[in-house]
Amino acid sequence: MEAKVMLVDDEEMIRESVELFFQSKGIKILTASCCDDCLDHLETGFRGVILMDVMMPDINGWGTIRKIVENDLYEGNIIVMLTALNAPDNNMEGLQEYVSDYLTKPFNPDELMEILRYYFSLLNGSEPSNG
Amino acid sequence: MNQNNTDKYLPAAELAAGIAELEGLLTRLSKGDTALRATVNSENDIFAGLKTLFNQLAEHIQETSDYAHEMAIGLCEHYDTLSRIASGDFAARATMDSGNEVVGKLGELINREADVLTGAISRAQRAEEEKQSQLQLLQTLIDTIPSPVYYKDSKGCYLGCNKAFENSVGLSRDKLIGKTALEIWPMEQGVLFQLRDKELFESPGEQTYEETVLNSDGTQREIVFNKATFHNEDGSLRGLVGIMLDITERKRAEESLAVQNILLFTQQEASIDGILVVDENAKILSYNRRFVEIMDIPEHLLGTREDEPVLKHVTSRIVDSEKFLQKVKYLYEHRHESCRDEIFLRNGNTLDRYTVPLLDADGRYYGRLWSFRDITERKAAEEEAKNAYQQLQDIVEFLPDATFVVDKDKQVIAWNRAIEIMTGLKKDEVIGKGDYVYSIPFYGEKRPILIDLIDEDLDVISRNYNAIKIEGKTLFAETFVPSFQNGGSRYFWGTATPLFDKQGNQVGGIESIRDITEYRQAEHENIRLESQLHHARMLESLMIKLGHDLRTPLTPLTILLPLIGKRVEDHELKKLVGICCKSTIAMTKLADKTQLLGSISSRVNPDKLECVNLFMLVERTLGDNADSMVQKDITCRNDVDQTIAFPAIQDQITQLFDNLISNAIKYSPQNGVIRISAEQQDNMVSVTVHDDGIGLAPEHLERIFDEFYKVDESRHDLEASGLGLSICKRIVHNHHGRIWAESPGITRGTTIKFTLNELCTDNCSVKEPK
Amino acid sequence: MVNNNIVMIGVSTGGPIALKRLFSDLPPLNAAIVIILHIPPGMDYKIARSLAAVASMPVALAEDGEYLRNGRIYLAPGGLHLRLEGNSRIILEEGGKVNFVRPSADVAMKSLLKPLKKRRLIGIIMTGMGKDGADGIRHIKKIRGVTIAQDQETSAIFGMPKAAMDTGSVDFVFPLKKIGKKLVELLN
Repeated sequence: MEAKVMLVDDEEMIRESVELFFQSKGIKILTASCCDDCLDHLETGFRGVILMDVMMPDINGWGTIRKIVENDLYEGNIIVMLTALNAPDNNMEGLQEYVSDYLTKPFNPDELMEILRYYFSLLNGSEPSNG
Repeated sequence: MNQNNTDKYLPAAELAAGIAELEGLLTRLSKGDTALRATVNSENDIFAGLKTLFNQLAEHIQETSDYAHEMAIGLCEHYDTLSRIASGDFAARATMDSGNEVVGKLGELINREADVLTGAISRAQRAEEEKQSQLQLLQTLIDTIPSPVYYKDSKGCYLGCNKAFENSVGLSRDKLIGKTALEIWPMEQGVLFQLRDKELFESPGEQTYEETVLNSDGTQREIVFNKATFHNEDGSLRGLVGIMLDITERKRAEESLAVQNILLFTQQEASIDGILVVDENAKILSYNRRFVEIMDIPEHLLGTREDEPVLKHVTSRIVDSEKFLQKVKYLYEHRHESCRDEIFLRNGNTLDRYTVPLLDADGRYYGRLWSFRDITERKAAEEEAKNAYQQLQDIVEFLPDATFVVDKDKQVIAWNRAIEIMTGLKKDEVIGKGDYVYSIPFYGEKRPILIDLIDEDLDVISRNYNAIKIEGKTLFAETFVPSFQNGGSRYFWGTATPLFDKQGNQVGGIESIRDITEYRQAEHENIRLESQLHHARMLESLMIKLGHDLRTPLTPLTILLPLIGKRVEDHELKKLVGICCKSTIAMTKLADKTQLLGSISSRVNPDKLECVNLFMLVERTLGDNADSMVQKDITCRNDVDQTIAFPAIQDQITQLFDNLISNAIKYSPQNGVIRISAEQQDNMVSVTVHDDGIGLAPEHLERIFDEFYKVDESRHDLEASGLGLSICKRIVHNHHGRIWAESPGITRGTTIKFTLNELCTDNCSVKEPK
Repeated sequence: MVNNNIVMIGVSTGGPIALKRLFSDLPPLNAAIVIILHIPPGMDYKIARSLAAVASMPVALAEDGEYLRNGRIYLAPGGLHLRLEGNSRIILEEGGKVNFVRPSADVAMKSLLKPLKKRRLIGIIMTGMGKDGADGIRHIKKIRGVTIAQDQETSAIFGMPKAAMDTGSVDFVFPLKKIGKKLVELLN
């Protein structure tokens, strides 16, 4: 099936573990380690829930979101921040409408699943199949 | 023998010589010098010669003297005799014994007469010589006279003059003599002189007048002519003699003197001092207008030129009249004394009086000068300055800081109470003294201190003394005195400033000293504490960062462990995995708590204060913990006074209660009761959280608030981070309160009490829920 | 119908889930509920649709000129500001972003008027980034409304609720569930 989730995080162990997790749930997941990768995925057609890390070198999560919006690649996606930061700083101003949720690491995997289900239903009007 | 001497006035000397020769001849003749006879034609020739001679002589003598005239007649008689003898009047010869006798007699006669004549001639010669020498003397005399002298005959022709006159005219004497004034002086002058001469001749006697004369050197001189006529024996006018006195210099001197007098007078009049000059007889010589003004003297008194009435008038104007009068009398008696003093007038004015005698170089007394200056204003200004000065002293005296003032010689002129106390030196030990007396109490020796540097070039100071700060002209410095007054070391802070008068001249300086030892110590303490705090903060930030960083590696654990657990079928393994999960959760909580620590340890931001309704907050928190309370059947009473509301940081207070309540729940038994109460007094809120749980042993009571402290170290309560109470303590401190624990003992419950002080804000009131 | 009870909710990041959770537990409420959620235009109808699926009241995107009706949930569309006229008529307008957002909760809340004596006005600020709605809450408080902020514990992001609380005009700070309870208490 088509990938419904993209994880954007510069930390390899995060990417690996999250990937494993989603695979166990039967959900296909794309990973990106930086803004460019993320944009690449979007440009090649990814649409779904984007789990976005905030703290990344070069272009951070906020910058990546801005680029997504600038390049008109937001439509059809839902962005959820996934970050170690308790609360966002002022860099998020203006991006409120594009950020649908905010989870702090380490997150409760079940909670994440619940949320994702809801967002998938938002996107598609239906839930993806469970594994 | 020259018998053909046609000169009428044969000088007597020649005559004498001629007679001598003749006598010589006759003598030779008488001695029978027949040879001679042969040369002489006849005795007639001799006689003829004699005759001629006698005639000449007679004529000459006739001219010169009466006696000579008589002698000439006598000679002529003899001559008659001789001529009769010569004409052969033997009878006459016969009257004489022999021709020789006659000749001899004649010779004798001639000799005698010649002697007489020679004598007369020599006398006349001598007289002539004398006359000549007298004339010479006279000329020398008049040449010596520096003023031009001249004499003219009755026709106005120059007869003679002296050297000075020659110079004046520019001609030598021989050119002058015989000429008239017209001929030798420039036209106008000559005419004038002639006229004057004429005047004099017409009325003989003396004549004096002044004329401007053009000298031969072209200069104009002012000349006074003194002339007089001189007369013959018979009283007829013979001529005039004149002397020219050059008064040019004198005239100039007169003019200069006149100018000086005017100068002097004007100065005197223009002077602001009243000046009175009296002569040695105490008569008023001069006074100026100012004197009249100052002394308010009626004009008529001064007109008398007497000192007495003026003195009387002046005295009446003066306050201490007796004393004044005595002084004046004294000064008049002591002619060589000068004096300066102040006198006080009845009308309130003050005068500065100065008097000097008028003395010449030899000390001769000519009079006395009195000078008066009205110094009333100056005195008033001095008084004012003195008052201002006194005011300054008074101000300095009451300054709280130790202060002293010096004049420009660095002598102490003010030393206030505060510095007396600080140094132990009293005013009278210090006032008037210089020589660094002010440094002794501080340094134990005489040395320059800050006030001594105010004269220095500010550049020099700032280069050489790093510790001295300069602001404008004021110097600031701090010093450390190792042993002050035998009482240990002190820090002092001083400031020194120069003082200036109205004209901008530096007239002294002022220095203030403050003992800042306590302040410094407090500063040191502060620094120490700050560095401790900084250190603590650093550790804390490290901890927070660590907590933060932990989240990332915790994430895979959180995600994957459950996955593993699901995949594992072995029951035992599942349990192990379960333990790992719990462990991961605990770590996560720890990380969370450190984050929390970060948020409450920062300084309280006054903008973040909100009005907290304590009752409501406790209600909410209890509600949040409701689940865990239910589990143990614990009841909680919220006895917080519902009117309590105060400004605080809502989040933190919520956290505070949350921690305390969850602790109370944790350590409460089944069916336990937790009671929360609070009351407000003024600005302070006192809160009590009581549980009847496991209680605390005394040794733990203080330490439970320490970070990571666990009462039971052996408890592996993964849920308990050990941070909860330390966070509570932090929050309470943020709100300027205290927190402490009380417990009767183990199993007898615990009471946590704390106070919260209102942080400043306005408008805080209870919010009633609708 | 002019004088409804009005509940106005300002919410942002974390909103979709929070709203779902809130309304899935609530019975129909005696009020008109206006939700200002920061969303882009492409998302708004999707949110409304999925909320409608769980809520016990009808949910629709607010329409310009529409009058509020009791017992309905109105979602402000993305990209436009929402105002109420006379506390009842919906006005949608273009205009510059306020607090970097459009629709802005401040704009909506500040357009509210003092309700009639027996009518409730309730302002709620739920999870979100930034400080939109803080001024709005202050305004609602001034006109005799009741104000609620979601607590930190249950907020995805506490920013907006905190900003509202900082104005000092918030009556209640509740976790999500309690907000629902309170609404029932106040309205029903």
